[in-house]
Amino acid sequence: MLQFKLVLLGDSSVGKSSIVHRFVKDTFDELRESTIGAAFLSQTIKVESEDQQEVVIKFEIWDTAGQERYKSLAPMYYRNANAALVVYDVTQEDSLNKAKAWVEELKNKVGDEDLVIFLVGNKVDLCEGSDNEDKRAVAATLAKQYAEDQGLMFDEVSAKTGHGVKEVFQAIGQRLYDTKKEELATRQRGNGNDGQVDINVPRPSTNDTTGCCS
Amino acid sequence: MTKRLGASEQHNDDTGPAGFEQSSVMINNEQYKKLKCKVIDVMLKTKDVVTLSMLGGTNLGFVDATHRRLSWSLLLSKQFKRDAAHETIAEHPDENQVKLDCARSFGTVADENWRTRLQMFQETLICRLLRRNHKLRYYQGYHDIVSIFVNVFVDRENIDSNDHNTLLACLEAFTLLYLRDFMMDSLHFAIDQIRLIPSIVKLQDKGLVDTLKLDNLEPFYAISSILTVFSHNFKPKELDNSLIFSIFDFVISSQSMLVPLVMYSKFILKNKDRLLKETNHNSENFLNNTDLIHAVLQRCLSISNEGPDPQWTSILNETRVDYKSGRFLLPKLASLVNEYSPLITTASHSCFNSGPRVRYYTETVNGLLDKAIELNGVRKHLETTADVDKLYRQHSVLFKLFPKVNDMPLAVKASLVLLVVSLIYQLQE
Repeated sequence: MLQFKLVLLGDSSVGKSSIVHRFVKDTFDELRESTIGAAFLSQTIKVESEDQQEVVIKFEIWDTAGQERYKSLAPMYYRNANAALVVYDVTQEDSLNKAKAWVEELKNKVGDEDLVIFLVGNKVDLCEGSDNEDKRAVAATLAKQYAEDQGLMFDEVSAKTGHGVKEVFQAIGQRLYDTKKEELATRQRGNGNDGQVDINVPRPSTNDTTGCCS
Repeated sequence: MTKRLGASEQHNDDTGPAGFEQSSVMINNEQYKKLKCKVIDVMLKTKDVVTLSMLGGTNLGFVDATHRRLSWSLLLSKQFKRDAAHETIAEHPDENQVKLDCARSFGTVADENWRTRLQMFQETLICRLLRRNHKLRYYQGYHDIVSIFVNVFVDRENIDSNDHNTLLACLEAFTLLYLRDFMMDSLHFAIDQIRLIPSIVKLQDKGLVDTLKLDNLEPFYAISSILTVFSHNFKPKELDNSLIFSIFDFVISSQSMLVPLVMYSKFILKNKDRLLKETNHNSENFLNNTDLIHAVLQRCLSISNEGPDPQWTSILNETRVDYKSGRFLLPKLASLVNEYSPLITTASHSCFNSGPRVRYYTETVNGLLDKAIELNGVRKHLETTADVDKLYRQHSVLFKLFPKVNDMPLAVKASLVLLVVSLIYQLQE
């Protein structure tokens, strides 16, 4: 099993915790309380290798508080992260600006060029149907263009309905696997393994899903 | 179930108020509550603040909402006297954040209409308090503390009343005397406070701190517990008897923000075996020790549907016993937290007999707040704990030698620093 650290960043009330709970527990709570500091959750998914074998990936997920004052804690959580989910609310224009600021910070502060940044527009359910179109404050094309310019992955989701949430984590897992498998193979060759790839070498999880922090 | 009067489930205190806990008479829980309420009534009537504050630190605290609101009101009014309030209509810059957090508050209230009313009440109350105290900055988590006050003071019968001045006065006193460190424009003073936790643990179990390397990692795991006095962790379910009310009873009665820090330290010590086992078991699942410890502690702290783990009742009881008998083991605070911190000034009692209770006035508290804001401006640019230690020590010495130091021009302050440094140098020579 491969394990990756993923951090969620974004403005207050954009739905970071709701996205995580939809992914980890497949539940949605209208009254999800504000996150204070940060909260930890984990979840496993399966991705496919080139030879169509299933590879289990475990996400160590850090869900952070959105208020500006908690921003100073964020480096502790994005340090060593393999992926960052930068979330904005499609009905709040300013939340995309906050998301852009997070992208900037990640690019400036995280040395890892392989860090996967996924820009996620949440709450699309609020602007579904012709009656609600005016609730959308951030056009999908605009955010998508920004993501492309910055080399980010991008999608819109609804934590409330579940639309697109699992796919986001699946895409991140696949991207990380595709990126890391070559790195792992290179490292294995360096260790004199005759080019055999042992995907578990760098940080195999010894813990099963019933462990403390699963 | 029968019990000794006032004795906790886990501990038979022998330092109780006026013999309240020394009786050997066996009574059941309901009789205990009734008798305690009668004693509280007498203390309220005679305004016996000393005995009342002792009662707040015994099993079940002030027992029910009625006695709790009267007791908090009397105790906090004796701790803080506000000048005529300056109500302003100018919007506070954090009101939008307040709105966002209150809209997600009272999640355990099942009745949707009642929940919405409580949320709106809470938002109005916080904004009113912030407008009266414009220098305070709101933080996510403060709304959890306010929800505890709302739970105690507000019910379906009085929510529409125009007079919630007692609640506002109590909340204001608690905020200004206990929470100033958290209401700066940055988290630095709050982080200084939570950094005391590994130091407190170390005084009792150095081996545990060394093994888990608690000294070398930021104790961000405790932020939600300390900044909210556990109100983010323990949501009240039953109005009268929830653990969180007893914690607030004790904090207010002791006039001490050291209580949450001591309780969290005891929580770590109590879970030593589990922590060692689980960190060992999961050590390969995390990229760094900070993540590992945070995740394991969060797991230990997690609340089941039945409420907080019973260990928290015994943690609270042990903290009460330590407080009464003067057994709080603390590091020297002067170089670890700022000179104006509630931990050193307005909510600083470390044992029941730690000197006479002081009543604070608006001018004094505002003075402490202004100085803290100024110092925070310097503090937030410092990166290392050594720099912070230096700042606090330097500031502490200057403050004690020259109490008006903050009113002096910068050049005079610099001269004083040089003077003190040269004096120390000459003494060493």
